[in-house]
Amino acid sequence: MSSDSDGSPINLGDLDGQLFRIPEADLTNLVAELEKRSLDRKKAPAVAQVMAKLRPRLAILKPERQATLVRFFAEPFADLLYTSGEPRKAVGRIPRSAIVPCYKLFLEHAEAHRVQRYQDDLEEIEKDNDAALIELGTGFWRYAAGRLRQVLTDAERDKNKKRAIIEQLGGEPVFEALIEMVGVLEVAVPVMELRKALPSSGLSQVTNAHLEHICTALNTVHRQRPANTQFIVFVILARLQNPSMIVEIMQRAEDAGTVADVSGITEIANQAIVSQTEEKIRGLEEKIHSSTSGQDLALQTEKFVKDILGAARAVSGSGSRMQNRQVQRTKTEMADLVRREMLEAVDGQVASSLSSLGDLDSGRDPVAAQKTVEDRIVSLMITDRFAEELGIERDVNKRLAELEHDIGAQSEALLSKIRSRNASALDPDDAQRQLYTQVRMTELLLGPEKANQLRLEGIRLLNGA
Amino acid sequence: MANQSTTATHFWPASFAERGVAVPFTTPSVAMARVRNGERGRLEMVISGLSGGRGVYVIGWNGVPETFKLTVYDRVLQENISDIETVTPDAVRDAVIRASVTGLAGEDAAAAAYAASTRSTEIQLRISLALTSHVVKAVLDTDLDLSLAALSLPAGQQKVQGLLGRISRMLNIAPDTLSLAMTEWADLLELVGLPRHQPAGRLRKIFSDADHFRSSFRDWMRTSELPEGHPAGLVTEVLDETYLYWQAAFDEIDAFANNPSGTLQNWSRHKLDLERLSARIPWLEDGWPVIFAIWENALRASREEQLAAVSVILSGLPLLPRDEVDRESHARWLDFAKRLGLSASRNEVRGQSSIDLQSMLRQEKVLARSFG
Repeated sequence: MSSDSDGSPINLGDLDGQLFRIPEADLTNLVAELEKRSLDRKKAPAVAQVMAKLRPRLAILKPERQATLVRFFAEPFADLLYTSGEPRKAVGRIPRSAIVPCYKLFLEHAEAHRVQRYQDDLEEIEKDNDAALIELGTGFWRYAAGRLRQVLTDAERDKNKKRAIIEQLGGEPVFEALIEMVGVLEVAVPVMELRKALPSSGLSQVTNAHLEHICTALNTVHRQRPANTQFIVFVILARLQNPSMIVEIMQRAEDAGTVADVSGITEIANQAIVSQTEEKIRGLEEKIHSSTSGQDLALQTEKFVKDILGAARAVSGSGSRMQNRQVQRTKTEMADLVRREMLEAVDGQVASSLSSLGDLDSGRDPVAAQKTVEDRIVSLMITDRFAEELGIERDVNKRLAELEHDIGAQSEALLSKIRSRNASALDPDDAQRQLYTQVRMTELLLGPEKANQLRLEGIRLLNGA
Repeated sequence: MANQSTTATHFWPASFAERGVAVPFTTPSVAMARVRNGERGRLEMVISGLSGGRGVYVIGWNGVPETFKLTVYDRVLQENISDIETVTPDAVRDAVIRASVTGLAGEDAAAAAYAASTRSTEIQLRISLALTSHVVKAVLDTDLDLSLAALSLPAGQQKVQGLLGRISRMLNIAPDTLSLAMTEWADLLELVGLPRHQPAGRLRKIFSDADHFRSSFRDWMRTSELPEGHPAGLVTEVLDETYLYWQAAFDEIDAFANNPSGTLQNWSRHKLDLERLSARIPWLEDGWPVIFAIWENALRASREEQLAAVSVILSGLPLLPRDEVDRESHARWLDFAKRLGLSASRNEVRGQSSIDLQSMLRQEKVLARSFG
């Protein structure tokens, strides 16, 4: 990787800024190199971080990735993958970090010449030859699933073996991920056919055509391996924009005459929904610790709250009392987290930034202080949209009212200073800068009309009218 | 508000002056509006898709704050633009910079505007040095090899004067005439730069941004499973055609640099050509930096936000005016105008009653990015 199209060098330390300017050929090479390095367990975490940064571009570009067998191995469960900073997993989701250790385990228990033959065959297939890929996959996925199932069976029979495998994989969550990987690989062909039939951008509504493909997948898997039907449900869940849709889908599948056990599947779906909902809390905690923007955090939380409400709707009709309680508990946990980490934890910093805005001698960087207060206002306005759902509307309203009061008082004090026309107390340029700061805060908090009134009044006084 | 016409030809203006200049408002409902001198020179806002109709709407500039609920930044910008007599991209940019440095559109826009207004002196010096190096190399086959810092020292200046003296004798141009020509040429290149030299110049950078935009927009169209009949393709079709005119204009400008002896020997004539070309490029590129900024922001957003960004882009897609394109391509541009009119009528009606905070902040990010 050396340069972009206009000749300037690409700084890999600033991937965020350069991401959409890296030429496609360089990006493809970079991804291939990273994928090669990710096979080294020591390098894998660092590689995963870089790959996470590249993901927005890869999602749009969908570049030709290197035809590696590890990628092909993960293809059937690609929808279930997610990035987690901690060693844990939710039901129906597979952490990306689990792929390499599980694949290595497969290699240990596979015949090397056979794996090499699959790799050779894969390299010979044109990237858009879906039929040939499925044909190769039919053999390879069945073989991989068979080898790994044997490992799992042996582990279930022998506690020591199980312990050794868990240790080798890097922990219990990876072992659990392995179980789900094998489950999907055993029914990889119908899973792949279903994945191809559903829109990759996510389902906001399920058409009759979608339903037909879902029923086909459910029926095929039910006939071949009834115990693996849950993995079809996990794939469907991963494609839904709102998990609560699963209940209606299952109902429609039943009406359409699916032979699969709908009530059993719905129960599994509910378990996955509850588990994935609980995962949101952990995800939010991670984001709180890594995010520098209250606004981004509030938007992310809003999305999580919507997911939790969707989950609550899903399990309220078809879930058990325990599952309902679990979702309610998650909601309460999220409310506590938001109150503690997103509201109370930044109260002090906001108060000091706000007071420094009205005090030129505070010694604080006025731009940084203003950004802190702006971020607080915007994040509170966003939080206000879901505060009622979490029962934190009083916490939010109280803070908004305090800001309104403080900014109003600062604006009044500023206007008085300008009115007094004491140039030694307030330099006219500083006065104008402070006026625009107060106008900006007022606009974010109370809207453009009040802010513009303040601007006009301030300008009138500054011009000595 | 006067709806002057609802025919597709109004999506295809006759001249740059009729098309007007894009104004990077932060109020979402007027985000892609333009300003122009109307009949009798009075300023007007030109905006499409206001009521879901196929027309382009024209509103007296002074009536804009009463017609739309505007952000405070937009009120200041509207006031700044009111002072402009003849609307040009440069005049509007100056008004935008003055409004943005207040911080009313956020600190990022203020910092970008401040940087845009202060870096021009250094860029001018660097381009002047690049031009001198280029001419010295072309005429004397000598490498100037001088840094900006060294140029400011007496020894550096002496070195340059010596080399220019040799060029003056070689080309038979009076030293003062040569010196003036070099200064004027460098001034004219301030925004377009020299080919294969850094800094590229703001307008040449926009030209190269178009390549990034085209490739990422095409990637997105290829992989985003757009519904049948979605008008997104119009964006790249119009850009592809527009790009040819940008390329031709830069080629014309660069041709002078490719023949420095000829350019300097007939400077009084070539200066007029360069003035005409460097005044034309801002018009050719007008509206696109904001589109590139909208897209750059949308790239990391959700699919829904990307689709919304495409709608916004379409609502302000700048078509090259009839008088500025080849006669043979008129049918193609007329087709663009018709499709743009159709897309405007399909677009969601622009809300005029309230300002969504997040949409406003998104527009502010676009503004900050669009300074280049």
